[in-house]
Amino acid sequence: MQRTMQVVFQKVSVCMYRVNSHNDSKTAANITNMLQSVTLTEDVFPPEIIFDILVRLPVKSLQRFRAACKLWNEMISSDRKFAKEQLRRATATITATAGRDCNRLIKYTHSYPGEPITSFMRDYSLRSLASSPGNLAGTYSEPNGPLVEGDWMHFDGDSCHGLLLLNVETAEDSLVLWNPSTGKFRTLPPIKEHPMQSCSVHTGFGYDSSTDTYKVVDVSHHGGVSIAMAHTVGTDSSWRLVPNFPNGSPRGCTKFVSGSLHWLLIQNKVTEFGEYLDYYVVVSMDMGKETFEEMVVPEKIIGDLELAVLNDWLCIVGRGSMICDVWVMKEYGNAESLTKLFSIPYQETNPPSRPSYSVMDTVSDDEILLYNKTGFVVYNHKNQTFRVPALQEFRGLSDFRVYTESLVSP
Amino acid sequence: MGSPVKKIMLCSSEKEIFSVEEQVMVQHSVIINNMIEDGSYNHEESKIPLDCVDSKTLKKVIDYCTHHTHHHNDNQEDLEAWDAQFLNVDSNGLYDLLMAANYLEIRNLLDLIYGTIKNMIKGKKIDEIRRIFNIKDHGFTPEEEEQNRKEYPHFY
Repeated sequence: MQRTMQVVFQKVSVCMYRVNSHNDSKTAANITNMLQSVTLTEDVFPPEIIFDILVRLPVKSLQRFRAACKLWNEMISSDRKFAKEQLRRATATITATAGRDCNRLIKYTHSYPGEPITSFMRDYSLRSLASSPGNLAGTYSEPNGPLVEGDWMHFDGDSCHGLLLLNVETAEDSLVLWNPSTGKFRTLPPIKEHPMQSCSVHTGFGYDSSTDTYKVVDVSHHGGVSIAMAHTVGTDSSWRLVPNFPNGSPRGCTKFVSGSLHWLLIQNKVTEFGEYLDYYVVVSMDMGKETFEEMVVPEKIIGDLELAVLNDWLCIVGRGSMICDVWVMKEYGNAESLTKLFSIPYQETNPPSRPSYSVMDTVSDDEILLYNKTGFVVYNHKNQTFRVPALQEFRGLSDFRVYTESLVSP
Repeated sequence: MGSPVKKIMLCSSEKEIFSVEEQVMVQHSVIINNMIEDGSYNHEESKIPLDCVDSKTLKKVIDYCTHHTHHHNDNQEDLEAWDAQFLNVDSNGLYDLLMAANYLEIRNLLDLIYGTIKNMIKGKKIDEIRRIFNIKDHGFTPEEEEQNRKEYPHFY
């Protein structure tokens, strides 16, 4: 078995760069009927063929197919190569504007302080936000592994490969890496001796392809100085200091793009006229080498800035007083390649509010999911129209992320 | 006058010989490409024995490779329509094609077949999946099977 599987994986890696360009739905329709009553094979398929068939399926089907037989169950639940290849294929078919079928929005809601304590997760496919006119109740997902009802938690950093980092404030070991698609989770060791006592913390995580591990990075900031600590998930090692995190004050949520983890920082300098001048810097961490690089955000991007990811591009959202500009770095690492993709105008609301949108993700053709303090908005940047998806609203405090369905184990 | 088209001989499990343009097979089959490149195929004497591919399937495989070599500039819609017609076979035929494409490592044909099977099975329930894939021994203990059926009745 061991040997057969190795052969399979070599074969798969050879085939990796070929993305299926055929429209197979048409062909499928032709012969779907024939499979209603017959068996595809009188023999049993070799495992490498099963691998190649199953790896093309969405997570939802695979979760069900675990019950087909033990071999399938093992492949789907615990084969790391299978999980990786499934994710690679599911996310390879992205086009510039269409977004992905496997992306979902997850929202955690907790009752207000002083009210009877309740908490729950809701989960929505991004496609449903684009198309469904009705009231979306979403899927109720029960995080009864990492969370107990009533726990207060927030998400740390952005999602990566379908994993989410939960910061469970009411638990002793507060950091938990969780895959909402499979329910698997891993509690991370706490930072025992934190070099800073009173500080603001900006934690994120990303994937290091050189060691095939996930690394959680905690940046604490106090009085102009920042200290980064890292932990490699799945190892016994405790948190270690990562030297040379640039000074400045971190803002918002980390983003993982192109193998690097990113923070947005505000730094300042004294101008020739003796005035303090604030400016933004994007800090990227090479997950393998664990080194930091700084990129000063060009002056043409104005307003209150926030990082985002759109179609695998690192994105800087400039939230000005009247308009919100969405810039993408078309060539990773090259500040010159920052291009304004579109602008989001002031949405007329009563009372008027600054357009301080957070860009969440591409929902469908030309549609982007935004968050605007009061709730989610779907913006069509081609027709410049806004639409409010009918998410069922629940009273309480909430936090949310967009993630990609995957089988990746935390 | 161009040079004559180079041909290679393929031999099915029934020992039937098929003569095919070399370029057609080299372009599509990794295995045959390797044989030609490393010189293990002798144009004077060799024929490539394909003991696990029957004549009917081999003829289809050759049809596929020939069409995709000579019509690769056709528009996508025409190619897809041709592919759909090509895969209009019974389930045994589909299985034989899959095994042959796998053996000869014809990647675009494999992608076509895998994509088709994917679309057929993705919404299916476990009992249907077991029938389609002829899974007689699922390997779960009776307790595990019962537990699964109890916990996820909608899967079956």
